[in-house]
Amino acid sequence: MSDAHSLLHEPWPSVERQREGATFGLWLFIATEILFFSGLFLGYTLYRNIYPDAFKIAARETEVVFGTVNTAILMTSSLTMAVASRSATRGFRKMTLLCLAVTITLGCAFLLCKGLEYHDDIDNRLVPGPDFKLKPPETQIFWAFYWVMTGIHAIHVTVGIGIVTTVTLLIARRRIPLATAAVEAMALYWHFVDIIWIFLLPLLYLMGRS
Amino acid sequence: MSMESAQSRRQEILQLWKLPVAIWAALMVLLALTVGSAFVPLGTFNIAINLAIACIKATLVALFFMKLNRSSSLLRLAAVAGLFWFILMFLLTGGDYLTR
Repeated sequence: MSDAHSLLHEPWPSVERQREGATFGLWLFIATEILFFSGLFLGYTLYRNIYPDAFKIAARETEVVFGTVNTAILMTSSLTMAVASRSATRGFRKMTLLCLAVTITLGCAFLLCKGLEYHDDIDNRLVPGPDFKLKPPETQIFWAFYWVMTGIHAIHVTVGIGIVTTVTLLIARRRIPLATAAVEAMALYWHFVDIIWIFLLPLLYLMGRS
Repeated sequence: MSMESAQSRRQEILQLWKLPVAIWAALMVLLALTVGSAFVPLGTFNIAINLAIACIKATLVALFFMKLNRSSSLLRLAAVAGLFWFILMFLLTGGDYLTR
């Protein structure tokens, strides 16, 4: 492979070790991210246990259609990201760039849906505060978790789009080689953000529907 | 010769998509199941089923998209370490709050 020369950096003895170093670092970062999000999941679990009825009343007001469509969008973006990562290591340049472009587009579509949903939520007076429409007042606790959890998740998606766009442009301009460990590392991050959403769907959108 | 290599290239590209598309299809079926079951009145089982499906979906993504099925033990250990502390946090806090 002609890329091999520019691919290897200090202090790595081989490209394989360098690749494993990048993915290992990303997995350690994901472990800290799990703990970061688990504080929110834990808080949610405890408050749901203390106010089960208020949480059911509150959860009925989330937009299940937006939640479901957004899950499908994120999963499809994970598919194109997985294919991009596989084609990059096998040297399929066009396929990699195409899949990364689709991933970026789907990420933006997710944010667009989330924005429309936030607009509806605000119109329906579902922001905790003096104007909040639901009773009992404990329903505000659920909605506080909704805004913080989906908000932080959306920030993660935004960061992901920024990273994927940067790496895609660098590969397209041949500033970094196609087989760079960066594609695999950012794919791990993207899939992790997908996993967080997989758990937000049942907790925020599917509860109290039946 | 070159036609042959073009054909093997196409074969290889098909091979790239095969596994990810299968996993994606499974994820979509599970999504339909979880959303559908949420509207069937099953009492406490609703949230249990939905969380179980979420765990299956997360496992599929972690194993096949994040490639833990063929990662080195170092990477698997790093992935499990995050999960371990997550479980510990829930056990210790739940052991207090949920048994009061």
